[in-house]
Amino acid sequence: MSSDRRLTTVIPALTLALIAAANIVVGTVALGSFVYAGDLAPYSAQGIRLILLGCCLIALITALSSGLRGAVATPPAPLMIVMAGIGASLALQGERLFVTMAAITALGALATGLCAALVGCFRLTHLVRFVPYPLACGFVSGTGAVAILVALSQLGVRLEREALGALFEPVALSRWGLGVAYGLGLLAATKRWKSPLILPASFAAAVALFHLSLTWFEVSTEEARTAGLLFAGMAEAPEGALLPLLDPNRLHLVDWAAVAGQAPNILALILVGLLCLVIYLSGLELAGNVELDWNREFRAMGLASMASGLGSGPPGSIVVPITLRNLRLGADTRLAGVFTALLVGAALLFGDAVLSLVPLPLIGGVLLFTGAIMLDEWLIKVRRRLPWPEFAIVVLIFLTVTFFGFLAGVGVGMSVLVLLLILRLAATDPVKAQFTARDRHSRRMRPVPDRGILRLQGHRLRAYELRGYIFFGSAHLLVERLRRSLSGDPRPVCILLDFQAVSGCDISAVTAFGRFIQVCDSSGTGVVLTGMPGRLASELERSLPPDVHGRLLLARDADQALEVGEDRVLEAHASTVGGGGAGSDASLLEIVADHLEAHLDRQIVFERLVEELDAWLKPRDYEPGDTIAAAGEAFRGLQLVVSGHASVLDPSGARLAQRSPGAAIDPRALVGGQTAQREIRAGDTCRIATLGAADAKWLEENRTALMVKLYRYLAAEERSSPVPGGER
Amino acid sequence: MNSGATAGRVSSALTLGLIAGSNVVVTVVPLGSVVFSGALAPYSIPGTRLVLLGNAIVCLFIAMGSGYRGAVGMSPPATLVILAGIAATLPLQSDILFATMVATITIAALATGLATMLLGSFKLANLMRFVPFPLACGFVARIGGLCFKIAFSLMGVTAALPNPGLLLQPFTALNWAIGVAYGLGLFLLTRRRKSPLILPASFVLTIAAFYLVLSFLGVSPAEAEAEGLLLAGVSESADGGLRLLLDPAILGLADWAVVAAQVPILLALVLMTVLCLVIYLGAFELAGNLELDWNSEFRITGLASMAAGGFGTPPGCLSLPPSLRNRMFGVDTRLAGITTALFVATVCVFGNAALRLVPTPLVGGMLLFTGAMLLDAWLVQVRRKLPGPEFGIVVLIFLTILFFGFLAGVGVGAAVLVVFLLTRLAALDPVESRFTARQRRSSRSRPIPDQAILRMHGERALAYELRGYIFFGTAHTLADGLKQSLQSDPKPTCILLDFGNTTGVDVSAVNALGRFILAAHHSGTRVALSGTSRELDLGLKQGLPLSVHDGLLVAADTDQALERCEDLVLAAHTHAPDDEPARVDSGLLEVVADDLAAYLDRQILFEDLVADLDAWLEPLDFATGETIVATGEKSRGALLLATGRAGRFDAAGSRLAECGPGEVIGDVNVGERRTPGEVRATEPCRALLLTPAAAAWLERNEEALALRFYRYVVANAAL
Repeated sequence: MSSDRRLTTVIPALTLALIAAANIVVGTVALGSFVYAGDLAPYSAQGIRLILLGCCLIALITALSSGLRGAVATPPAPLMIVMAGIGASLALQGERLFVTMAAITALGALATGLCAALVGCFRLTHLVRFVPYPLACGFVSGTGAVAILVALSQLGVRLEREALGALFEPVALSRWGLGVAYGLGLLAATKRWKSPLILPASFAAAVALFHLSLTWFEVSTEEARTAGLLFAGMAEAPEGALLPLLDPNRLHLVDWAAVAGQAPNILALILVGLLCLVIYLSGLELAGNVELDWNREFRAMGLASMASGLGSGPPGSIVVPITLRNLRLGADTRLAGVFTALLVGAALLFGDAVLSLVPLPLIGGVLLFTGAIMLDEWLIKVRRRLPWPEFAIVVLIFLTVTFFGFLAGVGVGMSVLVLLLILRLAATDPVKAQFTARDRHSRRMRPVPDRGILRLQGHRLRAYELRGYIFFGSAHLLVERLRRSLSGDPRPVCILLDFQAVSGCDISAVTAFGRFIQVCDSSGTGVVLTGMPGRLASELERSLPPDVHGRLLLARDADQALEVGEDRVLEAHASTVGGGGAGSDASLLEIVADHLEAHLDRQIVFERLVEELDAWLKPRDYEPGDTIAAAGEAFRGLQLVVSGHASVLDPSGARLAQRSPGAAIDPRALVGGQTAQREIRAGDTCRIATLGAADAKWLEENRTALMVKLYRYLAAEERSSPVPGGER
Repeated sequence: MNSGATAGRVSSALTLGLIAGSNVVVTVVPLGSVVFSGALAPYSIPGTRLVLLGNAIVCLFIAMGSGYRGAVGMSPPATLVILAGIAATLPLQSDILFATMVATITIAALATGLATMLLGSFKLANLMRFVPFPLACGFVARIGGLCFKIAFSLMGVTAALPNPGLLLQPFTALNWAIGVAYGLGLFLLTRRRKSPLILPASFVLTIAAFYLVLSFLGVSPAEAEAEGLLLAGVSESADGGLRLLLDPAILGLADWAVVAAQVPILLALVLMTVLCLVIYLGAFELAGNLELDWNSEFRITGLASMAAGGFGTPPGCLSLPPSLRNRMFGVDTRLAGITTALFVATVCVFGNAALRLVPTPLVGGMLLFTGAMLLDAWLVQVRRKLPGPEFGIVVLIFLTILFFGFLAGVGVGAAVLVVFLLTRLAALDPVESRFTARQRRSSRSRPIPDQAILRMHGERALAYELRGYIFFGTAHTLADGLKQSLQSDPKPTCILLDFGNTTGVDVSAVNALGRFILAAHHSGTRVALSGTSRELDLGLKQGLPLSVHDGLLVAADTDQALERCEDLVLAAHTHAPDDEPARVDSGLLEVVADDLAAYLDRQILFEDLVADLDAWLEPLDFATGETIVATGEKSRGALLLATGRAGRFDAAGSRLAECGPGEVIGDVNVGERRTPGEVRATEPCRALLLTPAAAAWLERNEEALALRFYRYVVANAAL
């Protein structure tokens, strides 16, 4: 902590700790009275001391173990509300009621602490970190509004019609007027200057001025306290040990059956405690622009809550306004938290002598300033950063938190955000690209007439590249669109669905696809599927009738799927021609005539070359699937495909290219020193003729004209069928 | 209606129409009584008739206009329950109360009709199709459960019976035993045989057998009706209920201020009816395995509801159980729905004469059969179709609707499904692939030493290809992972985020990415972005400090972004501390030695070739961006690139490949082949053109030189 010892850090830390402690004690007295109300009212003073003890322990442990220097933690307000509910629901009386309430609080804190610590120890915080940005913005700005309301309440301002007149009575006016003026003045000063000394200096000056004014107006300290201008302190606790559960005479009073009956409420306490922790940490990261190690914070909070539980105190969580104030005003030191804890502890053990010197309007003013800063940054300035739907949600959360509480705000905000997310996901077009066999061809080398047919009839294959997560929000619209494509003229013979870029789909999507496949099946349109997520494949198999599933065309990759689809188009064309559709063949002849001629020219050149090179070429036959050249293997010479097809495959077995008769496996092999970049396998029974390197060299020297012809042929070949993935 | 003309189908349609009619009456009469209860009790008879009239109108319109010819329509029970809630809150008495209730029903029906009509007319009905499959399954299964409940209640078996022994009293036992036997028998028979005659034949035979047994036992129809063995129908009206119903002056008595005060509940009613329609249509498509035009269904529902509203009767829509039953028995004729509508109208106008002939156990048995079919298909058989978690949700929805009502079931089901969806979305890795500049290069052609530096230090440029929709569930995990990569050894010089395959980002993701960019900025790592959406660009611009945003490298595509990352790695290598380059460069020299030697050999070869071909080469200079070969242009000849660089670009302007000095563009073969993509100068370059004519001359006169040229082209063809 050597860096913390600098005076410029210590002074703001001490000043802010004093203010934080005052805020905590004032807040705890108010909330503690709320928790220990009704039948628990006689034990209010004891209960408040238990909560204060918890505050002290939580603040101290957090200050020492949090990853964020300057962090201050106390039991969060929503938790106190749950505790108040537990207190009100206990059907007990007297001492028994108080001790049972202490036991429930202790159990709740221990369990919350244990859960938080376990989540942190097992590094599971990423599982609970789903806090959307607008929710955090709304939460922080709502916290700011609550801070302002609490400040106004501390300043004696009641926002009720009948109480408005009383606000302008001299004492009341001086109380809230002073607080509001100080708070707004502080806001204006910190917006203009960034010095960390602004707060301590102004606070000390304001306290001195306040007490001087009291002397000037001849108002005694007691009179000022009575008028609510100085902190009144806490009520005296009756006789008895501070920790009831450590007192053997009181421990037996715990009604364990009642404790067991509160199991659902304790569970709610744990959930609310963890939720507060998640939201507060997220809000602090956002408001303070800091990166927190969530696992460490969970561990620290777990430890702090368990320690508080041992003292029958409630669980805790980082307090955003106080911690943010420490960060903003230069008290980013552990001393701030430690001083805060010690001052709360001092108030608990030795009474509130120091705190009773602090003018209440100043405490309220500082809280008002904190709330105003949070509102300014996370409601007003955020408007420029957010699109309007998100900003509207921030405002909604802010209003809900302000008027209906934190839990309601989180619930409403989360629901609206999830709805917005679903609508946006549903609005995302799941079709990445759509094309026909006219626009894109498989890598299979097809005869020239087939290529002509595909150019002519390729639009009868409709292919859709799908993407993203397909779910109930997008599945029906997608299937509707696919169904519309079935009614095109001419009717498609095949629909190709490529799921390669699909990250998943839910059961509604599976059902929708299943229904679409059935519609296709009954209308005689083939469906080719590829790249299906495992879940979709198995679910389709389960949901489709076996005969329909059996007719599905499943392909390993997009290229194979396209090839299968092209086959369907060709088959459909063949059956049409067989049925008298000669009209299309006339136009086909026109289309393919030039290509057929060029192809025949090339074949003639190739056959002549092979004939002339016959004495030097070594033919070899390969069965389908036989390896012609393994990846990384050096070519033994120029390999020419004489008959059949050879495929160039990637490591996953997907076909990258196909070589048909007349093609060279790799023309550069003739130059020498070339290795196969990819595996080359026979696609069907094929014959490869190899011209060895030595023979090539001999030919270059002795049959130059022949080699010029060969090289020229190969130069043209290389242009028409480049080597996939080949590096130079 | 020609298709419905065959005798078998007509008899099936009539039988099923009558059964559906009796089911509608049996369902609607008690609910109508509930609506017109309390202060409205004196108007129970005209009120119930009003509800029956509305159902007849709705049924007739749906039968005539639905895309499914066997469709049957009625008021959804949930709508009638809301109407009952409205009735209970009206602070009025006597005729004014009845008139106000009729006015409220009129407004509700007209508003519902208008809403559905508009949705259908503007073709917005498909937007309402977000009914998840498990929700529809649970809902259909629950309809099955409801059929059971109504069937048993109809046959005198209710949970409210004071003594279970009462079930064994002769008439009660006869009632439920016949019903259960008929229902189960029908269920088993239809599973074995698919004949459409099963139902009418069995129904007629059972009625005949029933009356034979009654006469054999000496029980008169009146006694049978008194014992609940025949349907009781609507009580006779003694005070002219029908006259009151048809009197248009009744609306003049309505308290319109009270009607106006019901607007929020009326909106809920409209919403509920639309929700029922959506769920019924979704479930009907699913259970009936047919496709409906939702816009058309919405329009006809709107028309039906507005027509019903015109008569002061409640709105309605397609009803699932009778429509599905018609579908199951292959009765796809409008006759079935018309018969149902006429039957309901007859009961409304003439009382219960026809209804009194129908044995209660048969109607109960029919309901049991429908329920058993639905439960079997959508709770038992669906188990095999659905994975465990989804089936769990179906059961949860079924049980929630069973015990807590329709809205609770839909709410719980939707909530669980949304959580399920979010969990699955959050579990998806938004990173499609990761690579470094060592594993994948940009298409830019670089000098050998630069290539070697990238081979050695390429891991200092990390690239992440992102995918899917990045939202608050995945953004933090992604940002955490990216931040961790900043700590890797060696520290990355540049991180590339490619959004080309993402479908969108929400504002939480923009914020999380902004925080990562800030962290990267502070640690001295540059961030390159490609394929970003307008929202992301704008969000980052507004969320990041200007200095940080200016430091971002924003590229149009992955290749360009990768090129800029490579530039940064190369620059970082050049500007490494003084002692580092010496160590690195000695390693680099080892790596590049062979490549450099091969490159120099090729350069020598190229320069020799160019020198020898000088007389036949035509030099061409191109400025940066100038087109060398346009898309689809025929080859002018082979272009030997002497200086500068050229790239081939696709139609979208993305660079596919780039080549440098010593490489060859195009070829000398004359033919139809056209250049795929455009070739442009990426920096000022000089190319030496060898035309096909020159090549042909060389082949004839300078064989050795031509051989050297072609050999070089085969080895170094680039674009």
